[in-house]
Amino acid sequence: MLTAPAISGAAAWFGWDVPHDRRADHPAWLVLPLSALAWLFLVLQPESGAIALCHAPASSAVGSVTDRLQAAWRTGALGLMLLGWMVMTVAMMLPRAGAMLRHVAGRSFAARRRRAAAEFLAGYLAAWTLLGVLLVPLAAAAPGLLGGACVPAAGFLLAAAWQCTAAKRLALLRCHRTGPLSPWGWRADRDCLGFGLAHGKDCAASCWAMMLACMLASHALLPMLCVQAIAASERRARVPALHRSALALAGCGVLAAALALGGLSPS
Amino acid sequence: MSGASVRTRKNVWTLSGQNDDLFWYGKAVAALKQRPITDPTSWRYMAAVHGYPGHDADPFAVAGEAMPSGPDQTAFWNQCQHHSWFFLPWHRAYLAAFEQIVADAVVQAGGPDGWALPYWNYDYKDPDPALPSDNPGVDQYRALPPAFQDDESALFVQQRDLPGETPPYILPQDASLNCLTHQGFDDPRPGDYGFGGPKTGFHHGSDGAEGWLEQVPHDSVHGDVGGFMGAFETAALDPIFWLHHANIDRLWEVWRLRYPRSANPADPAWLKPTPPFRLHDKSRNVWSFTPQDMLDTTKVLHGYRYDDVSDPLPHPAVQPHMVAAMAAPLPPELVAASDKTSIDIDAPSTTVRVTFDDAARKAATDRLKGARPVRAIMNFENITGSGGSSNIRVTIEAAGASAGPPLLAGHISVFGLNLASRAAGLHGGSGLTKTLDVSLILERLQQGGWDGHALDVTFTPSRPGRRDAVADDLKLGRISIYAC
Repeated sequence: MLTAPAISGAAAWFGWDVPHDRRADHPAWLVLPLSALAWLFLVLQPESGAIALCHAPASSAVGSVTDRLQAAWRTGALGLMLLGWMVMTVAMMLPRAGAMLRHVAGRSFAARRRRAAAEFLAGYLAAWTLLGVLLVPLAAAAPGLLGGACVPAAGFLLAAAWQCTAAKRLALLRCHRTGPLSPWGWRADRDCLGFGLAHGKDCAASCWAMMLACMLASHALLPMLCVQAIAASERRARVPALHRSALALAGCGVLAAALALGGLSPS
Repeated sequence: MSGASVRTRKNVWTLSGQNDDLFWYGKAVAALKQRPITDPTSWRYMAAVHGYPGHDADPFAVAGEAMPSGPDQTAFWNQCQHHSWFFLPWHRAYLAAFEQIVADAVVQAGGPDGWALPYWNYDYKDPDPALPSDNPGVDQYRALPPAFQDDESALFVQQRDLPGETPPYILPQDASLNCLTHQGFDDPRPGDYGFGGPKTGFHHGSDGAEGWLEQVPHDSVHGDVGGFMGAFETAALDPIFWLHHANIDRLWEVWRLRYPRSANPADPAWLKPTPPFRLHDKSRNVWSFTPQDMLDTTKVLHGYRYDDVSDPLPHPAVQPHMVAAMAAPLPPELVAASDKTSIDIDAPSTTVRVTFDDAARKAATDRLKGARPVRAIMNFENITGSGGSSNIRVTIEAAGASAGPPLLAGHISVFGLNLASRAAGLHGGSGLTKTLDVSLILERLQQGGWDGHALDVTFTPSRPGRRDAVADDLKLGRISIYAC
């Protein structure tokens, strides 16, 4: 039988640090339902239709890169891909901001706690959105550049390579950085928003490649769960086993390549 | 000597240094210092498990010497847990592994079985002060034990930065045991971090906040001794480190026995974190453990207990009207803060204005419905700097009014400042966060006619004459006050 500590422990492993503080204004209670809803949406996503968020445009393998991007822009596919990116960010990365959200809430006066939390989250998601604006066209163009079947494998191999860089390690360390917040007035708004942006930037610098790989794999559930587990564990670890997670991501890449050769998709 | 099964750690002041645990400690330390750094049971390797400054800054580095492999260093070095609720259990295991290795070296040096690590009880009270003494008064026990001052001994360290008093001693406030008055082990919310430290992952906490025991006497004694003891990366190179930490470990037991109904955390995230911690034992085998394995000292490796875990404080140890406040604190709420969020405190004296938010204070006070006084915890957030281990003296006075002279709020230590301030370090450059309980100071100010609107907080070095003075670039992020 599942006990509360077991559920809490499993959730923490998954990256959802369920607070023992049951107060309704605890900021984690804002983040966790949002993340859960986003996961639900990704799991239940329709394979076709207007909200087929996960797929690069079907015509993407035809014509020049510019033509394909123009076509994707005209049909709204780029917008849907960006929306898919944001849903995935809310599902997978919002829980990563939980510790800093607690910091912002705890370092703010009670009367402006929700406002401070909202400003922080706005900054955090803005950083990820900006990254999405840069990466979505790349993802849309990738099938034409690499051949559609190779794209997921290439994404995971890129993510594996990024795990081995010094820049990744530094970004991950900076994800633990806090800073002082002005207590009152417009300076408080500026600091909460700025801290959210800065934390989002560090978080994006750390996890962008894994998230891109998930997008290139059409938000398939298995790779997303794998990436979620890696992202959660490397935040917790004293010395993140980045080479081990690189191996896991490379394994995802090899699996995706094998599936592609067999005419299957990672999902 | 202690028995061979469950060992008894003794107060260093009850040892003579003649064929006892202190005598054999010196012999073993000398032997361990001879072992190469590649050996997990060598003095330098064991110190590096706590922290390592890099070969260039290693005070005992030898050009061209063999070093442990990169993966070995990554897995076992620089793993000390500070600013975290893992501070106490991790150091308990670290000491037990060290004790086992030293005991083995004692036997190899011709000593008896069952050696136990002594503890440095700087709050020791002479059991029979009527006896004649060359050094009467309790202050003698805040001195560095004589064996550690003997420059012929392996226990002597030249780099210590205790001032020139004879004998060198730690200041009374740095040996304070007021930490024992805090009943909760941890608190996940900013403001008051409990006796044992804030809930964190397996790393130094992200904003460098600490539990009360870790601040005083742990950090403060580190800062007072200075030298190697002043930084994570070198602290365990000083033989007094291990006796200091044995006393901190003992105080955890004193606290546990003092509050039979309060408990160590039951959270699985504390009891069984993943992955588990890993150290080497005397056979150089890897020993994995979690805090759950640290709850009973008689079952930690060979098992040990202390010769004295009696309560050094009276019951209650706080003023009667504060008893209820200490027993049942409410979640801390921010009620005051400094306008500035980047404050230079490297000058000989710096004063910062802290202003109360009337609505926040009223809301925080109303929660109590007049049932008890408010506790007020002053936070010093995100202290950063590139060095220096000197403690900092903090005084408080009413702002803009003549409500009396400045009152001493306490001293804060910057132990670990350098590492915590590095962007590429485990804090990501957040620095340190310190706390002082200022409840009684605010009461005193109110009795003196303070209007309750603002305070002036002044920082000065605790010991201005030290070699290792305050860092030139010492900065403070923000001062805040929490009501709980």
